[in-house]
Amino acid sequence: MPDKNSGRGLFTLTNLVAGIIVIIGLYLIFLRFKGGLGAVTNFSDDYPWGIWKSFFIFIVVPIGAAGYTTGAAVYLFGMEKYHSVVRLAVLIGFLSYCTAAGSLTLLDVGRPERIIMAYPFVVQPGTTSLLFEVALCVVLYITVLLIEFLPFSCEWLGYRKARNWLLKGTLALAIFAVVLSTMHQSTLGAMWTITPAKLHPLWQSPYLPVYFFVSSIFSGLSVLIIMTTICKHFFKHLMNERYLDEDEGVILAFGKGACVAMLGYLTIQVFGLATADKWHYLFSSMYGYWYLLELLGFVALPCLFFAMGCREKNTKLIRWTAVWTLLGIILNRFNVTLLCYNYHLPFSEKYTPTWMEVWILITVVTIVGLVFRFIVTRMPILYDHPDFKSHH
Amino acid sequence: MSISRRKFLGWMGAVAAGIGASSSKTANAGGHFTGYPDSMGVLHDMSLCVGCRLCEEACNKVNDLPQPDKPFTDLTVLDEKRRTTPTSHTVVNRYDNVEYNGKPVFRKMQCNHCLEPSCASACMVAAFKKSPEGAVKYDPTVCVGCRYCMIACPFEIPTYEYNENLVPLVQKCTMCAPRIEKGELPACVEVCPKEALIFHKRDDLIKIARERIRKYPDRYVDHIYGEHEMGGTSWLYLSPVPFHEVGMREDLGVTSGPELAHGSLGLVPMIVGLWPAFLLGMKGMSLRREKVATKEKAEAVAIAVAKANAEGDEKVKKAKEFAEKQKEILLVKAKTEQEKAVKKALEEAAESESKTETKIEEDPDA
Amino acid sequence: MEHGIYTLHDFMKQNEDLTYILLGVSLVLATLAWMFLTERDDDE
Ligand code: SF4
Ligand code: SF4
Ligand code: SF4
Repeated sequence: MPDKNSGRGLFTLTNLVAGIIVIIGLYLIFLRFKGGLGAVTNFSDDYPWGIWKSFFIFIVVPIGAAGYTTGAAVYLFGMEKYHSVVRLAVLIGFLSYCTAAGSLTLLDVGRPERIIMAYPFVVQPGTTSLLFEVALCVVLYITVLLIEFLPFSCEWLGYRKARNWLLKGTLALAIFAVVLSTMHQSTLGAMWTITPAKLHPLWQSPYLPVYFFVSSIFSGLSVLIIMTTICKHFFKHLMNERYLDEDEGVILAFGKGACVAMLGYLTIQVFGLATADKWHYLFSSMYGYWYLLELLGFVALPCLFFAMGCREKNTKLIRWTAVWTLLGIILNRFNVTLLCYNYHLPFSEKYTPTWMEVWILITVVTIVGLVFRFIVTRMPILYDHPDFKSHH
Repeated sequence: MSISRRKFLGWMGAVAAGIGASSSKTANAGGHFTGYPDSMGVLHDMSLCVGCRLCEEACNKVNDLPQPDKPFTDLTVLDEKRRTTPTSHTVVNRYDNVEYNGKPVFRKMQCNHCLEPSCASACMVAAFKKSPEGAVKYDPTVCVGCRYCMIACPFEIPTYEYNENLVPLVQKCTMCAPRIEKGELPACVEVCPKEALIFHKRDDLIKIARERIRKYPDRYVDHIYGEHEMGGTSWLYLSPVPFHEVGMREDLGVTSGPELAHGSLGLVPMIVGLWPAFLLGMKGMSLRREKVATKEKAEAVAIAVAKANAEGDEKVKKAKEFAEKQKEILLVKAKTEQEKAVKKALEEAAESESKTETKIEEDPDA
Repeated sequence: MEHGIYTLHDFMKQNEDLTYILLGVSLVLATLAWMFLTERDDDE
C-alpha cells in the first residue's frame, strides 16, 4: 500500500515536535556516553536502578504482553473469529520487546558492548541469576516475535514464498510465546524475592512471580484494547471492513478476559496478605494506604467497570477502563521497583530522576511511536493485503 | 582465544558437571550446605572500636584508591552518615544515639562476604564467586554493568562507578584476598590499633565471640551478627548496643539470597515442562472438537440432502403416478366416451333402420 | 570441582547450567512429539 499520509508532507506539527524531542534526546544520550551514567542520571549506590529499568523492563514488558495474550486467545483458546487483531498485537509485542532490550542494552547497562557480544550467554552464563532467565527469555521471545512479524513485511515487499513458509509455524510460535512469556513475566516479579528486606512487606511476597504473571495478562489485554482504539482513531482509513466489524466483539471479549484475570489477581493478593499475616501493615503507615489505593483504586474498581462494560455492551466504558488498568500496572511496577523499594531509607536518601533521565525516556517513547506509525501506515497490519487474502 | 576457550569450557563444564559430578562430592547433607570448611572470617567488636579511621586509610592504600578530599585524620567526616562508595570500600560511622562507656558507638561497614552471597546468585555473568578462603571475589572482566548485584545485596554494599564513561566497574571490599593468599592479614585488620578487628577461621571466631559474650554479659548484646543473617556471613559483629541502633538491619531473616532465588527459579522448569503439554492438549482438544463439529455438521448436511433427495423422489414418483392415473382415467374416459358415441351412433342407425323397416312393413299393408 | 561443592550457590550453578540445556531440549522434543502425534490426523 502506498503511504496515504504522504500527501500531508513531512513537516506536520507532530513531526516537528517529535523531531525536537528526539534531537535533544540524542544529545543527552551522547552526554551519557561521554560522561558515564552519572552525567545524566541520579542513579546511586542505594538506587542502582532508576526509572529506565522500571519503565523499560518492568512496564514495557507487561505492555508487550499484548502479543502473547492475543496470540493465545486467538490460536489456543478458540477465539479464531477475532483474527483481525493478531497482527496489531504482534506488532505491539515486537516493538515493546525491542524497546526494552534495545534501550536497556544501549542506555542503562554500564558495558553495552558486553551485552551485544552476548557475554551473559556465551562467555560466562550466570544461570543462577533470575535476571539471566529474563534476558534469555527476552532474547528468545524477540526472535519468536520477529518470525511472527516477518510475514507482514513479506506481504508489504511481496515475498510470497517466504511469507507462506513463515506462516506454517503459527501454532508452535503461539505456544512458544506463551511459554516464554510466562517464564519472564513471572521472573520479573521473582527478581525481587531475592532481596526480602528491601521491598516493603506489602509488596514483597513469595507470590510475586504469580502476581506479575497474572497482572501481565490483564495488562496485555488492556493494551490491545487501547491500541485498537488509538488505531481506530488515527488510522481508520486503513482499516478494512473485517477489522471494523470485529472491533466491537474484540473489545467485549478482551474486556471480559481482563476482568476475569483481575478478579483472580485480587483474590491471590488477598490470599498473599492472609498467608503472611500482613493485615496490620494496611492501616499503620502511608504505605498501607498506598497499597490499598493501588489494589482497590487501580485493580478492583477497573475490574468492576470492565464487568459493567461487558454486561451493558458499553465498549466506550471498556476502552476507558483499559487505560485505567494500564495506569494501575504502571503504578504497581513503579511501586515495586522504586517507590516501595528501600522503604527503610529516610526521605532525604530517596531517588528522584533528573530531567535528563525523563527526557531520554520520552525520546525513546517518541522514536517507538514514530516507528509504529511508519509500520502501520505501510505494512498490512490493520487490513488484509489485497494479494494475500486467504487466511488460516 | 580466552573467550572461546572459556565458552567451550563453560558448556562442557555444564554438561560434565551435571552428569559426572552431581552425585559425587557434594558436601550437602539433606540438601543443606554448610560452606567451605576452614574458611576465614573477621570479627568486628564494636565495643573496642574507637573510630580512628585507620582501617579506612589502610583499605584506601591497599586498593590503590584515590585520596579523599578530607584526610583520614579528619574525624569530622564521622559527623555524617556514610556508606560504601566506589572509592571507599569500607567506612566507619559514629552513632550518637547510643552510648557505651560514655562514648558513642562506632561501626565499620564493608562487604560481609556472605557464606551464600546474594550478589553471586544475582549476577547474570556469574562475576562473583565465594572462594574457599572466604572472600567473595568479583571478576571485572565479565561484568556487564546491569547492577542487579546491588539490588540483591541485603547489606547494600556493592557500589558502581557511575562517572566512568566506558569501563565502569562494581567496587567492593575484596577481603584483601590477594593478601590472604600471600599469608598476610587483611590491611584493615592489620592496622587496627585496638584489635577491634580479628582475623581467624570463621568457626573459631564464633567460638571466640561466644566466649566473650559469656565472660562479659554486660558488655555485649547476646547475639553474633552474621552468624545466621541471610544464611550467615564471613564477617561477624559483636555489639554493646542493639544492632538496629547502629544501623544494622535485624529483619533480614536467615534465608540466604541463593535459597530464595532457588525457590523462584524452581518454577521455571515446571513452566517449560507443563505449559506446552497443557496448551497442546487444549489445542488438541479444541481441534478434535472442531473436527467432530465439522464432521457432525457434514453428516447433518448429508442427511438433510439425502432426505431432500428422497422426498424429491417420492414427489416425482407420485406425480408420475398421478399423471399415469390421470392418463388412464382419461383413456378410460375417452374409450367409454368413444364407445358411447359408437353405441349411440349404432343405436341411432338401428332405430332409423327399424323405422324404415316398419315403414316398409307398413307400406305393403296399406 | 576437585574440592567438591560446599555452597548452595555452587550447587545451583552446576544444576542450573544443566537445567537450561534440558529446557531447550525439552522444547524441541515437545515440538517433535506434537508433530509425531498429529502428522496423520488428516488421513482420517
Ligand atoms: S555483603 Fe553483599 S556484596 Fe558482600 S558478599 Fe554479601 S551479598 Fe555480596
Ligand atoms: S553489575 Fe556486573 S557484577 Fe553486578 S550483577 Fe551485573 S554483571 Fe554481575
Ligand atoms: S578487607 Fe581489605 S578491602 Fe576489605 S575493608 Fe579491609 S582493607 Fe578494605
